[in-house]
Amino acid sequence: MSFLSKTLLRPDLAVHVAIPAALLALYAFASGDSYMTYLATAGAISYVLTASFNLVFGYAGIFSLASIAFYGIGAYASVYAENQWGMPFWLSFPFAMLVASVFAAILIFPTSHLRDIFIAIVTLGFAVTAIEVFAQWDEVTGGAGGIYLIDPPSIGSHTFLGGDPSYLLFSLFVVWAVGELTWRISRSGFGRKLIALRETPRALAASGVNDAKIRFAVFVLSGALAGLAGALYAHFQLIISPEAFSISRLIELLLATVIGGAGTFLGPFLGVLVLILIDEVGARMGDLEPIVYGVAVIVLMSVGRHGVANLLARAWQQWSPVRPTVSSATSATVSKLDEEVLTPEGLDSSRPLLVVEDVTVQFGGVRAVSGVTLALQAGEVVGMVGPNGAGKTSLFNSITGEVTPTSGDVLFAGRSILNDAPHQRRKRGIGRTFQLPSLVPDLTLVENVMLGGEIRARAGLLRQSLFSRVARADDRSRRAEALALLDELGLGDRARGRASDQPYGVQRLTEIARSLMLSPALLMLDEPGAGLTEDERGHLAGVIEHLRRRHLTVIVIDHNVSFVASISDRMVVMDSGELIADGAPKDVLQVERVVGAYLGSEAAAHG
Amino acid sequence: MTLLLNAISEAAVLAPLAVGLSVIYRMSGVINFAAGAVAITAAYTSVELGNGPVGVIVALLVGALLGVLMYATTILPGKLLGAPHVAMTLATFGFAVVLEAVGHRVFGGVSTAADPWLQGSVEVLGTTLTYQRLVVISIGVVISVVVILLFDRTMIGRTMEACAANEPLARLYGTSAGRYHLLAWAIGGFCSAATGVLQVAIAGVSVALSMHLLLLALVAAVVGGIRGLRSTALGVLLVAALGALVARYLTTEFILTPIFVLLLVALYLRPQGVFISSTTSERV
Repeated sequence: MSFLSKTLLRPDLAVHVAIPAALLALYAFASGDSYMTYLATAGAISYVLTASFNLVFGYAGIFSLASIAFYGIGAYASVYAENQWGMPFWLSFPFAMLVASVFAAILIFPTSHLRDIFIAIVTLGFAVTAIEVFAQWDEVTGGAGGIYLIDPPSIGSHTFLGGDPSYLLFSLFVVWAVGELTWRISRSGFGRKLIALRETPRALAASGVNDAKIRFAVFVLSGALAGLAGALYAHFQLIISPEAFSISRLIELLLATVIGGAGTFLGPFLGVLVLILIDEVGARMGDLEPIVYGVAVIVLMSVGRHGVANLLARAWQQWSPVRPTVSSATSATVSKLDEEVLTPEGLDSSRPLLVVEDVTVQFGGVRAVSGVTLALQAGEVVGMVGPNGAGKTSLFNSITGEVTPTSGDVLFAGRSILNDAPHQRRKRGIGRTFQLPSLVPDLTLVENVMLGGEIRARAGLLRQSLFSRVARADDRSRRAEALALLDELGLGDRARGRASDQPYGVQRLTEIARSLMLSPALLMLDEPGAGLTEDERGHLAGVIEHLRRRHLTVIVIDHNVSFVASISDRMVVMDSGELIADGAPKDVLQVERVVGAYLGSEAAAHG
Repeated sequence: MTLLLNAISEAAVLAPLAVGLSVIYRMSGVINFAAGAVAITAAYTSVELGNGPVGVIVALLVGALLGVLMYATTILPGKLLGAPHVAMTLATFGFAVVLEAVGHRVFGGVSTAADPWLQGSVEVLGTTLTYQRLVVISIGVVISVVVILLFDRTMIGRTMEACAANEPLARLYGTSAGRYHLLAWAIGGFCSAATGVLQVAIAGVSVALSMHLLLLALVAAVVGGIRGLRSTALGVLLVAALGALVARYLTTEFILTPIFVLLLVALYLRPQGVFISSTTSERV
């Protein structure tokens, strides 16, 4: 969660009261004067559009340029449905949202798993193509001239005429609803997943969350909200033409979002204010305006996503360091948790938990893993050593699904998991950490650990977005579990600190805690000790001992042979892609090839 | 035959632009969203100077200069501040806006066309082929081929590849990475300008055309495989062929829409590019 939710807007109640109060005050202030009414309505619509863009760009970090097209699609769709099919506005507005979100789905479906720059290309392409369609498809959009015959919405005898105070009130109601929704998302597990997607997608992979699904969901939701903004716009102006959905409008939207503060709740509100100010100034700049806008885009993109809201939040934080209150874990939940993890479900202790059968991993001409066979018994702690490039991490990746083996099979709890995606394997009970730390820097430690519990969330994305009762209950129990786990690993007093502020060793241990949230049967740690101080390493050894007592099956890669020997029941050694030794630590260290792999063959011969 | 000729001349006009996009992407990891604007600026420059040899050469130099300017003002600051590639990609969008606005002030907003360099025509298989078109096709092909050879066959290209793959390492070996970035952006700007000059030589340009050209070239590069220059060139042929077919048999009003659909389908089926035969999926 951003600074804001922790500081400025910490009390939920304040938002539920302050936002409607501010909107009503705005109405009272603006409704007396027709120009102010016009300005406020335009601002309200801009807010809805900016908020939709902020979700996808600010929170999720997706560089989408298509929002302006969804805005246009919403406008045309609502008008078309009314003019051609006689739909009333309370149907045509949802229809506009539906059409926009369907286009969003078509757009994101082939691209959600691609790198971010390709989403930027596709969305820019869509925005440009949409402008062509708006200008050319005469039967639906009225072509370049646009549509002049738009009926203002009405209920019974009352008409909400664009520019009237009543339409302003209607728009402000939508602002309230959208604001409430984004507030709830920013508080929920969905919001945490969005921030993880933006900052550290790997953290989602480690938590068993399918990042493509999150990207899809937020993109479609944002498309729907942009469509809503478009419908509002069409019925405000009562005239629409392609210019309203042009590239220059897109630039304004981008500026409003970034200047206001991308990825913050207040950002879109501030951004719209900034935009209105810029517009007032811009009207006096004449044709200098696009130049100023363009330069602003260059500067802001180079500097990063720090807008007005973030600056304010930082200042506020320095002035009054507020600590968020978190419902503390009760002792009852802790003991329950212990039991849960002690008995991973559906395990048969008579056969090995994990079987790697003759697995080979080949990258082009390089054979990283070559015919490795390995079995792990339930409850074992196995250490894996080997020189750099021996294929240890590749073997890990083929077990956890980050890499598909060229041949061979991987069985977990008796069944092949080769066809499962990485996040599905996490759900089956294979937790892992990566060589490089993969915490989300902007979240606190406890929030990071909570990510690991997402796969057990009862509330789906929809209920998480609405932050429903079930989602809140989920959140509370998850938070209690996460705190308990951090306590267990000796990090309880740091739980509420931001991940980026923590020392390296704490970050590594937090990743283990996050993996434990998956209730794994097997935990795979990839060099958890790398870069740790002697003290931290001692702490890590204690943690692994603790995992053993929980009867977790653990496999640890590390380069420190004596460290691995001291913590493991069994040691395996890899060299040049092959498994060259497997047995009790003291025996393995005597094997000639192991000594050879570490000290050179001559030392082995002399030894 | 006319169909084939249309496709070939469209491809020849687009190819430099798409190859320029690919050069810059390979070197800097950034998509140059201002390439279309550079093309249009160059086209106006050439026409303003009479569209003779002098005008064309100045226009091409202006393109190269704009590329360098863009690198210095739009890419370098972001790079020093550690901005992600996609943010710098959006920054080039800002540059495009500035360039278009400046162009509007300097050249006015009217669309423009130029007198042909050559008169006369020749009959090829029952179709009239003007000398002008023949020259345009030749220039487009030659520029694209030269740039492709420069990158794929010479030491300059290999050094650039090294800088792109691991800049700190390349620096360690004594390569002045900054100079190679500048060179890549200069070539990218030059290529964009070439497309602009060729476009105005056979059809004419307007400010609105900049996004249009950019999108066509972008789709060509991505569909073909933007990591490779030759695959990009093949992608241009594909896009031009589709464009010519659609214009002939379906519609002349919606030019970008079918091209965009091609992009979506291609990204879904072959995200690494149709003409790249690598098994590692680069874009995931």
